Amino acid sequence: MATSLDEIADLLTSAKLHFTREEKFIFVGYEMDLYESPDKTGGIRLIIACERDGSLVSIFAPAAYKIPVGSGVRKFSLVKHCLNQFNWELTGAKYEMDDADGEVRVGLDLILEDAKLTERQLMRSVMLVLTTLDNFHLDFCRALEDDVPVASRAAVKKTVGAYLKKQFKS
Amino acid sequence: MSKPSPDKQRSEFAEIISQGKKYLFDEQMERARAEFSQAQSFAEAHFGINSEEVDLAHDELINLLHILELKDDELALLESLVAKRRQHEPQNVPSLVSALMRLAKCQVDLGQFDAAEAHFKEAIASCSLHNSEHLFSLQLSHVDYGRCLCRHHQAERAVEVLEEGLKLYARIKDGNVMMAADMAMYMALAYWNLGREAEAVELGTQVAPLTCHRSAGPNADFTRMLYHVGGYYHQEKKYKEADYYLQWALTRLFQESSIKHRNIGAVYHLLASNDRLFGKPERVERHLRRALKFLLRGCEAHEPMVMDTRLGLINVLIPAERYAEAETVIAEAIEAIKNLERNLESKQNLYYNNLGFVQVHLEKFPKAEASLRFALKVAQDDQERAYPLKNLGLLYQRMGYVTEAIDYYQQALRLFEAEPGEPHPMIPVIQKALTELQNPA
Repeated sequence: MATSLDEIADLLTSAKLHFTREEKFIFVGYEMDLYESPDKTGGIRLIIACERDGSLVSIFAPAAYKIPVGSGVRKFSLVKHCLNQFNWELTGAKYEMDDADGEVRVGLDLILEDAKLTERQLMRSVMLVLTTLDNFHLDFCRALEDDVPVASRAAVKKTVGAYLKKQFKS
Repeated sequence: MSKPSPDKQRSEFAEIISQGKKYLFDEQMERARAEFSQAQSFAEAHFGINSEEVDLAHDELINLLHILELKDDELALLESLVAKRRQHEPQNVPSLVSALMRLAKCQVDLGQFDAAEAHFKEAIASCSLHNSEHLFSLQLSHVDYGRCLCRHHQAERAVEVLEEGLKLYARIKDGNVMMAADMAMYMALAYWNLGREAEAVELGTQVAPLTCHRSAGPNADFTRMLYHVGGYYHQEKKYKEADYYLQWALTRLFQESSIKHRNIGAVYHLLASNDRLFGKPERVERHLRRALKFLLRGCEAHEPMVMDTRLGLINVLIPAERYAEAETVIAEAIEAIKNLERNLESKQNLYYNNLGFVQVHLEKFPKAEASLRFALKVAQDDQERAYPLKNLGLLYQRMGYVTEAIDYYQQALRLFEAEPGEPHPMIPVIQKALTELQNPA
């Protein structure tokens, strides 16, 4: 077994993080800089779980967003496009949506196999999930609340390039 | 003894450079410097002064001096590099321009603005619009020169240079969009500095999606433009747009390698003001608390923005009847202005009056009385006297001293009634309290 919840709890204690230990996972609460949860508070609860006999550690923010059921195909498709674009740009962390209830999660899986989990590795992973939530929050909200699709940098480059050509032609 | 073959010499040169880079990676800077200097001497001796190897060693050395912030040494090296390129390869314009730009930027860092400007101009003049190999250098020269002017408060000239650069971009085929967008963003900043705010916002909002794209590295100047745009929309009462740009500015500020506490605090502060008007009251307190947290890390506790943020927080806590929390914030504010020399009385009047008010509600009556009497003592005019008098009325009413309560309420009422303009909103409050005291059930 590569790691266990006890070992993760020890690493979190060593990193001076407050957490709550449950039977099958650990909760870590954070006050965020930019991200707002669906209940409009500035906090997030991360779950850290051990899977496959401790050979895989899952770190994720459950229900980071919630797409209201009955939002319609267009909205779902817009959100999916948005998450797809984010995932394309991201390294490590990823967004996932459950089509059945509209829950959007942000998280990552640490595949350990027989390697030992270190405090640095764990903290880096936790921070990656948190910074991802903060960095992409604004664009996600624009898509979710205002139906503004997210654009890749290449697409924006084209639009801005054309605008500047037109604007400064004379 | 036979002379080593050129290949062997090249491999020896590469070995020295690689050793220097290894030292640099391990942060053994002096050793890295020694290796790069040796590489330079070796290249001059074996490949000639104009060789690519000498250029490479030069580049490594200049980068190292830049990291070490040894500006004078960097400047000397850059000057010799420019002189060499002017003399030996004037026809290689991109290489000359690159050296000129580095020299100019180094001179800007050293405050030698006039000398830097001459080099920026030389870089632009060296390029030909009709030579496709020069176009990249030409655009780059405009960006760097424009940015430099913009940062040195030469907004009018910055607009001229950047506009010229943008016109060049519009004219040529396959121009560099990123550089054009950077030019446009600096131009927006220059417009802003010239007070041409609407034009700045128009241009800034068009190019910000590219220059401030989530996958692009942060740029402090561009983040400032986002903040300006947010502020502009806030002024224009376009609160939704203001919210978007201010949050965008925050996102970028948090991405910067060094956290600028003061700037983050300022954005949170404005965001809280916007929340209040945007109909997001649940966010006001959170944003004010964050503003305070960051401002206190980047400013003195008595600075106007910090005090203003505290006042905003007090104005959230008191109406929410969270008096104990309000008392803490007010006490911190009083502590912060304790040693101020100017405008002390007015500020003391405001905070001691608030403190007294919350202490009345916390039933800390002796403390409340002392606070309110102090607020009264430092009051500068009738307007400043009116509130402590009203609150003294409230204090005595709560304590059950009816005569004293009526007396203070009446004094306060006279002052509020004497204020010019619309009837003061405190008048009906006091009248109601007086009716209760004069006609007990």
